[in-house]
Amino acid sequence: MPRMTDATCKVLLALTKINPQDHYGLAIAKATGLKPGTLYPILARLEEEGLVKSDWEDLDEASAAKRRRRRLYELTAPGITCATDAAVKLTERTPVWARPTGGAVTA
Amino acid sequence: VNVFVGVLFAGFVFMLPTSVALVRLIADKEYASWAPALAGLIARFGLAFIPVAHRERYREEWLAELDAKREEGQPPIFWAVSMLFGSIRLRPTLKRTPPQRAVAGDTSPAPAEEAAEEAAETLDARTPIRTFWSEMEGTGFWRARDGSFGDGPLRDGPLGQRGGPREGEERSPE
Repeated sequence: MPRMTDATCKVLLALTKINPQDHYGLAIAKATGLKPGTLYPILARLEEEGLVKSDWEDLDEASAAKRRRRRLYELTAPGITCATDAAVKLTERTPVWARPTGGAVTA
Repeated sequence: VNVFVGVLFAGFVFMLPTSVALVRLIADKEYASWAPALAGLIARFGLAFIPVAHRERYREEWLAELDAKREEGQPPIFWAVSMLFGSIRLRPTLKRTPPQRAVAGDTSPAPAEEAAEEAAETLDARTPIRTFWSEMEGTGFWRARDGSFGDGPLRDGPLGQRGGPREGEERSPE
């Protein structure tokens, strides 16, 4: 189990929320509000722990869009469990007055 | 004397905002032209801190994201600087993880692979400047023939392959 900082929790939650086609670094950074200097070490750590796996985007898709291919990140089965825990932890750490209506904190 | 000072002051009041606007216009254009190239340069410098085994992956990933950032019309320089700091923080994690092993859950590298990576790392650590310049080789950064400065999103050739000629362009004999 990795060290569950707020940033790590946000990354895990973002991977459950965003459209799977947008699971690349820039989109995750936008969803979490993290800078790449924070995001990439977290993603590498999660990948090392086996909670996240990554693979290259389909080359044809990237060629059709006339851009370089992106690296897409995906939660593994343990990662999904960890993301559920992350949501609980993030909610617990957020003061009641700062939580959105409904009580749960999202990325 | 008062009239002279008045004229001088009026001229100064007129010239100052005009000059500032002109300088800003030129600076904006200059910034727009060299910012993407500088961002690429900073990102490539950051790659020198990434372990050799992982470097190709992060090169492609980061350059793709810099392109995306540029297409959105946002300044990529701050993003690249953050990547530079990120690469320093990434290094310890990546040194522990052989590429493509973490997914399978196997974190023990083969002895030969480990020795080769260690040797490359040692060489790399001793020659960071040379590593940086070798990163710059073949990017066309310093040798753009069309007068533009820097390498655009697809200037490196086909996706994932560096050094390829552009469409309709012949490869130079060098």
